[in-house]
Amino acid sequence: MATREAGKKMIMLKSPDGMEFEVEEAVAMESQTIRKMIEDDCADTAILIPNINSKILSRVIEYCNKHVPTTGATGAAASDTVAPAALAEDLKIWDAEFIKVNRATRFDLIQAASYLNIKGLLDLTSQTTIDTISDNSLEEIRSFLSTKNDYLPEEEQTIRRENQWAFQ
Amino acid sequence: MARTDAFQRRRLCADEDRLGALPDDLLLDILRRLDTRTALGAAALSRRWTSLPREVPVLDLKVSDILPPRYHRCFRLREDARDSKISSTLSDRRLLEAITARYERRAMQSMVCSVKSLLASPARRRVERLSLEVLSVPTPAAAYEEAVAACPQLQVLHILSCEIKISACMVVLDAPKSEIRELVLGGKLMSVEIRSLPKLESLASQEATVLLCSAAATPCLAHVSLAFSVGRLEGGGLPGLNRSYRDFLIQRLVQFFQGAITMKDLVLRFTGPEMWIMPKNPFSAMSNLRRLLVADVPSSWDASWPCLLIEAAPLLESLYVHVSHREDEPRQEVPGETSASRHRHLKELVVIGFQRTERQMHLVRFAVEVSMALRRVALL
Repeated sequence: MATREAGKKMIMLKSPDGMEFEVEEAVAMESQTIRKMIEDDCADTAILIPNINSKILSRVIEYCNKHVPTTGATGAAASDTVAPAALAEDLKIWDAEFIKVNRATRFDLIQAASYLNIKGLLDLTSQTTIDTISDNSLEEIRSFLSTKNDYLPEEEQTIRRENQWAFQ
Repeated sequence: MARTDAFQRRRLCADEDRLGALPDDLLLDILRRLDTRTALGAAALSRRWTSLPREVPVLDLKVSDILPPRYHRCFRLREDARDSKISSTLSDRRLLEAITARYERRAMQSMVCSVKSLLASPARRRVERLSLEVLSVPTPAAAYEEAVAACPQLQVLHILSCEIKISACMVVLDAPKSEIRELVLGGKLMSVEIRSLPKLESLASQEATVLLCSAAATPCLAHVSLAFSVGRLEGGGLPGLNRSYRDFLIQRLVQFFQGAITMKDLVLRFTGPEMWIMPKNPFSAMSNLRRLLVADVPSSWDASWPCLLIEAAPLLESLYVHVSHREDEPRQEVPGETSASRHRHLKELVVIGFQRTERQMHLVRFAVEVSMALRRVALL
């Protein structure tokens, strides 16, 4: 812990509901958006992350914390001792656990991943949605996404005709 | 029980179309990652989704996606009957033929219909890349033309023949207004006739033969990649059959190179033992060719081939030869002498997989001797 604080620069992230998170710079820089702010010197004291509440932000930080050693410069030491393939496998299992959240949280995570520009997290959160949409009937998807069919019958007819390849 | 229901209802309300609430670019990102059928189907979810699939830049339509399981069963039965793995009468076999043919016809008809309705809708569609995996049943040639004409912004078109069966397929592309700059073709015995694709820059073909009606059909064609294999048809095939297929290919290549006079880059990848022992030089004058890569050349390849190529292309600047070492190779010589006239532009010769064989040494000596501008020889 001592070396961690001595050797690494810390960054303060603030959520709009007033929570503050102190994270290593390397962890925060998993987000391309924050990286850019740091590189542009816009981040001397604390960075306010708008639109992302503390619950979601803490999960995002959890994700970044887990993913930082394999991609950042600190990863070299870690992957020397553990085979990269095993590490990747571990991370996959961890990701699968991480994404076991309700839909609302997942959609919030998609939005957060997009705003903060964290590709890995965006891929992970979108993929789960993609898996649900694929291989399900339109009605199943509608009920899963809580989407209402607001087409008039003739409108739906036109849209189905345009996209008839989907309904062959 | 009642409490759980109430809880779930509350949760449902809280979740109400949360995905739909995401901004367009995020939803589009999700649609892009879906297969084409699912992405298009999403348009029917709700009004929120109507126009999103029109923004998807890549559409990949595979006829095999819509062939029903019954078709595949009939197809297997038909193959088994044909190979006498099951006992059948002639009329059984005819019936199976007729059923599978009907399925194939229907599938291709709905594919053509779908492509038309997809591209013909009045709303603007952003598709730039259309990939069609087709079956070789007789399809009105106009179908592809209409599809191409309906979508003038289409820049990349792939036509691949369905893996299920191998049989002849003919496609005609005649679209003077099209913006297509890249065409990818794939499938043995597919033959494509290009009458007009004025913006076409890049053409890649895997086993499909291409006929250019004239040099004016593709005035911008600069990059060409052709891959053919002869002699590997179903575990070797018959030598006679291989030879006649090779002769057919050579004839097609001669015609192709006559039309492709604007071509600057060429990649040739001929595999199979028969391919490089051609009785006839297929390379007519390639007057604009600057860069040439010949890949997968057997190591016993006769050196007079690159010599012929160097002579056929007076402006050639780079010649890359990639030698493969995996075939049991034939040892015949290529007929015909090469004259050692001067070449003014060849700057670079690279042989990848160089092994100091007599023939390879001959090639290097020839290039050094003939070329007045040679600056780099790399033997890797």
